Amino acid sequence: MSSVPSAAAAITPLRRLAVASTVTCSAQASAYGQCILATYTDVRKDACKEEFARFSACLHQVMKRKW
Amino acid sequence: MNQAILARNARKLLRNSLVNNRSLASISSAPPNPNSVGPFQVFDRNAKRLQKDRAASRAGGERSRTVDYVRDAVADTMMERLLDIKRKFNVILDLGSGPGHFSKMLEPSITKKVVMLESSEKTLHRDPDSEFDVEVDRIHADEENLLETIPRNSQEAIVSCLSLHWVNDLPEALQPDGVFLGALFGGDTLFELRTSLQLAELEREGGISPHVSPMTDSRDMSNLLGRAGFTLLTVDIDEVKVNYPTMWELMEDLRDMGESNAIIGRRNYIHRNTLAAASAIYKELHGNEDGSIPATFQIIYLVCNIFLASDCGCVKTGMIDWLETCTHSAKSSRTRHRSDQLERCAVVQSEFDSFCNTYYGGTSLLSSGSMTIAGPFSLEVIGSRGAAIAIPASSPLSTPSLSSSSNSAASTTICLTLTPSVVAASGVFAVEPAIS
Repeated sequence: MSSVPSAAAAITPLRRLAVASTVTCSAQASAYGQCILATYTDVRKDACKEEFARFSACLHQVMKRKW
Repeated sequence: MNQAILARNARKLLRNSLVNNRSLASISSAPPNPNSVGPFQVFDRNAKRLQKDRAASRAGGERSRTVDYVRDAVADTMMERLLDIKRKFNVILDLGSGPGHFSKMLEPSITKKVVMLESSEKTLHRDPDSEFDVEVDRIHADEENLLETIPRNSQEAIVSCLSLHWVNDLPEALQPDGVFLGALFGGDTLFELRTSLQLAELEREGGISPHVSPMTDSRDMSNLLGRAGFTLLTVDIDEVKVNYPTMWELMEDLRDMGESNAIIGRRNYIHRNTLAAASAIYKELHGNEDGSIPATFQIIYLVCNIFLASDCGCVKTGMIDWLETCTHSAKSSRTRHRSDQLERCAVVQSEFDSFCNTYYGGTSLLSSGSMTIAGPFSLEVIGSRGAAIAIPASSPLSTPSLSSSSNSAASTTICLTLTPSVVAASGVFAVEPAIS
């Protein structure tokens, strides 16, 4: 249970991921989203693997860690 | 003789050992009792309580107060519906009250006292008594074990503002002629989030786990409420759309509302990749032109009355309440079915009037002061289009759903036990006969 003030809340890892995925890497995110949009009636595992790899690489770079 | 017993015991032993050795197929739950249908357990009540406690104590309750917007808007609409019921209550029970979104709006002209019942203690005591206009009583108890604190069939009015969607099963607590007024999330709630997470999980991980609750459909409401003993009901549907900057703010607000996932057997975490993917999909698939994302909250409003077979006087008041609410909800409905709905209300009203004229010596139940209905007939309210018709029963009333005392003499007072079943997701209501 955390009762951190809102100023400190801005730097939680989840917040950083949020910013990274929607602001910093928005171009790659958009490309990935468009790919899903094009295939969502027949989506399967790794249908948009390349697009996500680019998105993910950007995230890793911004977050300065890998997962 | 002995040999036969021995052989039987040996077979039994063998069978037992076989059963014990088979770890693949084992009985995971107690066999169902055919005489009492138990509710299917979908939600983890304990997890829900913890989530609500955490949400209400985050940043001293401030976080929770900032996300009151959905519940406050819905409580406001519910209040309009309560005002349609022209009755003054002594006590109203607010079931799953939260910090009292609805109770705060009650005025002394409607009720003397409000009892708030909530499973999360921190949520229940979030706001001080000074914010309420009427006397407040707070009970910290689980909604599902309502009867431990509230006597059965004792309440004259129960309201519930957006809390029933995490409840597995509810006991009967209303008194005859009691009113239930509720709002709960419908099945289309958060469909954007649900589909985005599903697509992301499917594409990234190759499988799906439930992250958004399977909320009720308006079509299920009649069954659920029938189980709880409700008879006459009005259902209508509204949507609240909220725009958020991104999916992350939406998820944070949901957490602060205490609305995190509490489905039994849920996956306890979502992988970073899946979350990031879902956020990208949400934006592309559902996003607004200005870059924000919409979240839909579909709200099902219910007004129902309960009638016991022994209590006929309520038919009249119940029917009037019902028609008034029906007309009102049709008028205030923001859906495109408004005129249809109004028309149906009028049809129900006129059919009911003509039914009364035909079978009740010309006096309409809606205008006369007399309550009892005599004679061997049944009222049938039928169809998926909400029309009511009255049919004379050719045989004496013997159907179990009608009053128990009705099948003897022609002059016995009978009670109309309507079991309406609510229809279509579009706010159209219809009533089906309880006759089997």
